[in-house]
Amino acid sequence: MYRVCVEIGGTFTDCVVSDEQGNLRQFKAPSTPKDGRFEQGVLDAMAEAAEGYGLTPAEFTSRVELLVHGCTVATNAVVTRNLAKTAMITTSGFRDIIEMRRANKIETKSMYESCIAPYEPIVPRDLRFVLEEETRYDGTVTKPVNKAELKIIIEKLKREKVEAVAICFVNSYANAENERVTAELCREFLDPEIFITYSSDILPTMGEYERFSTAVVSACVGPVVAQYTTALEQGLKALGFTGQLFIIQANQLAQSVTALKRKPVYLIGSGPSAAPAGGVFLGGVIGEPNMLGGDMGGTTFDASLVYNGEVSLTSGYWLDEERVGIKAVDVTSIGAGGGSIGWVNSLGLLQVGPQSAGAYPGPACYNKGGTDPCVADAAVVLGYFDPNNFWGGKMKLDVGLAKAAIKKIADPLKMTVEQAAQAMFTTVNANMADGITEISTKKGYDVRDFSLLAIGGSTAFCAMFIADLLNIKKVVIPRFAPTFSAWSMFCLDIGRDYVRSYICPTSTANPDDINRLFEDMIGEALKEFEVLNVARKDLTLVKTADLRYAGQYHEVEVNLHEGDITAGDIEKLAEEFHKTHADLYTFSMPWVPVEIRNLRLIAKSKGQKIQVERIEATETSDPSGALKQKRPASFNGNYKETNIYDAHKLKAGNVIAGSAIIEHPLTTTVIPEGWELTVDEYGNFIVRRV
Amino acid sequence: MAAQTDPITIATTWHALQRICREMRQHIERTATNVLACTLHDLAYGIWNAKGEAIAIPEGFPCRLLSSSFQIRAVQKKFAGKIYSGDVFLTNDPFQAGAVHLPDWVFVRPIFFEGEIVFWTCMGTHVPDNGGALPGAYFLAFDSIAEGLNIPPVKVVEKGVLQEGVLDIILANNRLADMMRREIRSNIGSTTLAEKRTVDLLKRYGVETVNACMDEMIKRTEKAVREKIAQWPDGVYKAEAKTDDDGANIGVPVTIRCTLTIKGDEATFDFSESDEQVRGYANEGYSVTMSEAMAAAFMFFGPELAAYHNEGSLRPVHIIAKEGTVTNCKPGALVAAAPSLIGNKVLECVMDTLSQALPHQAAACHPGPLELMFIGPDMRTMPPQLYVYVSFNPDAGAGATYGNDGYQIFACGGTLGVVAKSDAEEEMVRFPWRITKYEFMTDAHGAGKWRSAPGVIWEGVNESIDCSSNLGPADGFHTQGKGQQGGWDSRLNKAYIIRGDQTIEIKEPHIPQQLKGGDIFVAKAMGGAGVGRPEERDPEMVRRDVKYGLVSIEMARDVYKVSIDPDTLEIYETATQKMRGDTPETEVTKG
Repeated sequence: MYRVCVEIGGTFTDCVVSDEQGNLRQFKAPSTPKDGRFEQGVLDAMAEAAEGYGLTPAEFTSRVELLVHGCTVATNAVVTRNLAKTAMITTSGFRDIIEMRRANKIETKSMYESCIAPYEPIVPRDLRFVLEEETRYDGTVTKPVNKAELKIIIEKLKREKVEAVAICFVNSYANAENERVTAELCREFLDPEIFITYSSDILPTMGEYERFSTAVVSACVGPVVAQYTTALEQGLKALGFTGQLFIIQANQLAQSVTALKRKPVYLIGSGPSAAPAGGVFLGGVIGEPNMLGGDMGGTTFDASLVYNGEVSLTSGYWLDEERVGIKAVDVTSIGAGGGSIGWVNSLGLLQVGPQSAGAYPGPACYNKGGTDPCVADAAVVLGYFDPNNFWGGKMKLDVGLAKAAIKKIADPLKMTVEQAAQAMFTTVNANMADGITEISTKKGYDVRDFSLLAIGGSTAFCAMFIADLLNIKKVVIPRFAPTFSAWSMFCLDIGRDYVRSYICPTSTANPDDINRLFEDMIGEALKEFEVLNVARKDLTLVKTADLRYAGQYHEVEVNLHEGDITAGDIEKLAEEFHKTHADLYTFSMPWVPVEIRNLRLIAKSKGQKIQVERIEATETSDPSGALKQKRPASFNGNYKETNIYDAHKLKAGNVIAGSAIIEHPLTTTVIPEGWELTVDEYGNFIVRRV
Repeated sequence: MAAQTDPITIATTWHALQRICREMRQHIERTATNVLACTLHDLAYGIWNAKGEAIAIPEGFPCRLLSSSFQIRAVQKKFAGKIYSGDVFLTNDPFQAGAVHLPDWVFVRPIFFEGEIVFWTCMGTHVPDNGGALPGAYFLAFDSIAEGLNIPPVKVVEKGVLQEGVLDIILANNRLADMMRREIRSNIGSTTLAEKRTVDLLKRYGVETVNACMDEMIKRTEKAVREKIAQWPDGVYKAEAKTDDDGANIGVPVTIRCTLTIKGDEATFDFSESDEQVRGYANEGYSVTMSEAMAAAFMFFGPELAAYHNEGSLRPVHIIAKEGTVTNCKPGALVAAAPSLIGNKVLECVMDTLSQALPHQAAACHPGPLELMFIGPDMRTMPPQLYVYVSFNPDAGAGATYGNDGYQIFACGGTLGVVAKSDAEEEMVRFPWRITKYEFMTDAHGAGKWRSAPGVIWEGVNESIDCSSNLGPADGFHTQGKGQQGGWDSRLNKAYIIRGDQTIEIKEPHIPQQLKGGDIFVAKAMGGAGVGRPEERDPEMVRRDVKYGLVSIEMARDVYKVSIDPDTLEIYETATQKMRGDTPETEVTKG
């Protein structure tokens, strides 16, 4: 039997397979975004794997007991606006909440940008239907749903042939009754194919804009997700798949397809969300509880954070111009990658990115017609990449073209081509260091307390330079760095997060009310776990509360313990809040009343973790057995003959002092002076500043 | 020196300072209890060098950004020789320290490194109460003393120790002292964060390098701005804009006049022909006029420079305002409405003159401000507590720009849309008001080939007992903002009180109203101005607006000259052509 993880990326669909002995192999097939038929890429990647094991696709697939899957299907649908025709039913008098967007212009645009096109909301105004109903801020329903009026709206929905409906009522966080009744009637009278959701089901918290927006995003990807998962399930079934299928959610927990279909918004961000959980797992094995994840791809760099063995989550984010209010792995994405283009702005400043040459035409050195200077071109000029043996020899790089492209920025900067290449390299590293600072300082952490986890195919050639900029003393490059996201899916837990609004000062909070709300969430979780036969005793519960000082507009999340909450716990909660506030914001106000705003629960069942296999060890730290050649490479502005090692030939215990380069078909590691790399027993590179 | 200012270090320093400003904003948003700070972004902040030159000018209220340089320089001057590490100063003084108006408290912090001041920073915001004769800032006071507590630059923290005595005097004169104690922590906390982060930067690069970078940044920005202005057509352009009145002399508009002269790589905005300073609260100090005018000009320098402005941007641009006019008032004048009335008109004048010079970047006026302020007791608390409910939710979106309809995710044109709105749900919990309507209106926008964003209607029910309503910052009930290139002017705002079966129109917003429990307050913000003649608008866009309920069949026909079937929403081509005739498109030639 096999266990398989498949991740759909922008260019490739990665597949990592574990056999019964726990041996891992990695495979790739091109992604198939055309017409949204991403499932083909998944089946292709599994066919590649089948071939690797000398089996037919059907033989292989029928032997897969577990398939964990991460995919960008939902994210892609929103970003490209390839969405279901979606309507909204909302409270009369509040038709334009999702279009006014709380006037939050400066979240996504500069205040000095005036010549910009108006925002196009996902649900156009003519599909935003209003209904007479009223719920007060305290939860009292003063106007029940006018059912006659609703039936007229339902007829209009049919006539418009909408594919999804989001029901979004003001104050529904305080009482979901009117939304629920409306949803039930819609389900009764509309075709079962039509996706129906309501805002308090997805995000029962105060704040109509974020709640409505999240419901709309969930609705508009609902049919897309249903179509994709159905096609995938059918494709797998045709090949005899009888194992369990899990899909990774934005919150880094895996979930069954059935449960996911109810809240499809959780699929947005699936894929990149897996890596930090892999970081936690790997950190547990090698004893690194605090890590900053850095993943450099072709166009973007994703920074994430693991503290005390926990992945840092955020309670809301902007996806392009849309606000999504659910919990998601906190990832800061910046436009920095191997394909990022260097340019000189009107202030004479060298900039790298956010524009990228992408996979096509790609960097100039690829010789596919690209003429803009890219980070990969700089790496070739600096001697970090071997032009004759790139991508395991599958690709020849043209140094001349790289130099010609870089000359375009070298001239205005009055630099040599080599100096400009160095400047580009340092600039992109500084951008990435900034992205890491952004994610750590906003959580109140000092980056120097962390190790840098360098994952993805491109990060290893920049990682130590980034670490130098941040004063980080240790870099971890996992053995499976190039396919780390897919590998990480072996380490995921299964579950979901839940939230309930509970607005009350800590001084008068009632433990019974709190426990009742947690029980309600646990009940919801157990229902979602039903298909997996998971009982309550098998669940791990993580309880937290959002707190703020009376009068504040934003909350701080504070942990509770797993058991029933007592009056003493609530007191401790307030103390913990004062402390966290001081850590995050430089001050606390112990004399000000503290308010609970929301209660949150993560319910998960432990996934089956893999064994991390060990590699061959050696008595000697001398790595000369893996030495391939020497070639000139630039360090601190000087070219010098540098040792080049073959990653496949390195053994556990080998130590390599910088400057040196290690080549692997899928990634290149550059060790600058002042750093020393040790190969650990699992084949990871542990690089320390000396 | 050359090695110290290599291109990479300059870029890194520049971006680090920008990031620190972003963090300061996130900090105050997350810690403040004052809606003006955390949601409306009514903030004065940034980073200055030891000389008091602006180095990083972040996103915030245009009236406060560059004007904060005046508070920093006032502190430098007044406390010369007595400034220590860990000090924080407070001021709101419009005349001694160039603050915007009295409710704007600004906390100023010197940042020391190795015993020397290297940076200055500040964080300031409009506070919900500042003493004075009445609660809320926008009222007609007897004099400057009655307008609110005047705080000349004063040390509130010395060497890290809070000066409780000073704060006690200030807070003894405040109606919301408990809240202000929290706000003070939050404002000072933001400057502490800036200190921590800038010191990290100095540790990495050293003082000399950072100082050299800052000089280079100023030099480069100046050069880039000069290059931009050099591309503008030389010439003299004139504009004027009116507010409804000065708050005292009701019915008499106040006029701001501006002459822009572009010559070579320099531009001069001269406001000297504006009205003489007035008895009411519609006056502003030079610092505010300068700050507003520069921010409006930044918009025309293009988005690529947006994040890079600093002291260097000021050197090729001259802002002139004659002392004794409403744009440069003398000490003692009333200034409560400086930002919302006069500041907004200064901004409109700059937009108008530059729209004439650069027609392909033309920006029509934003709608007149329509912001609510209700003050009264909240009967839901025991004992009833005073509440000050400030809401920008009725404010309508942006005016049109050349090539685009007005941006709808936008409020408060006088701030260039920096303001964000609150959730209605949040407001209903905090204040004894039940909001019953908050959405776009039909036929409520400045028409044009490119129209303004739609106007907004807001209705709320007073669920407590009697309270007062103060529309002091509101404008555009009698005067309109200008459209460009044949686009319609902004529409007149309206407000009503519905009491039982009686509807009372608020004709003069600057006269405060008393509301009764159960009253319904209706605010109609009617939308900004358009660009280009409405009859040149793409008929398909008109049809779409009709379909969306933003334009009526009648307005489509009468204003846009598009004939649409009310049932099928199809365009009658022949009738439309006949109404539109063969008039050629307006030619845009300048620029």
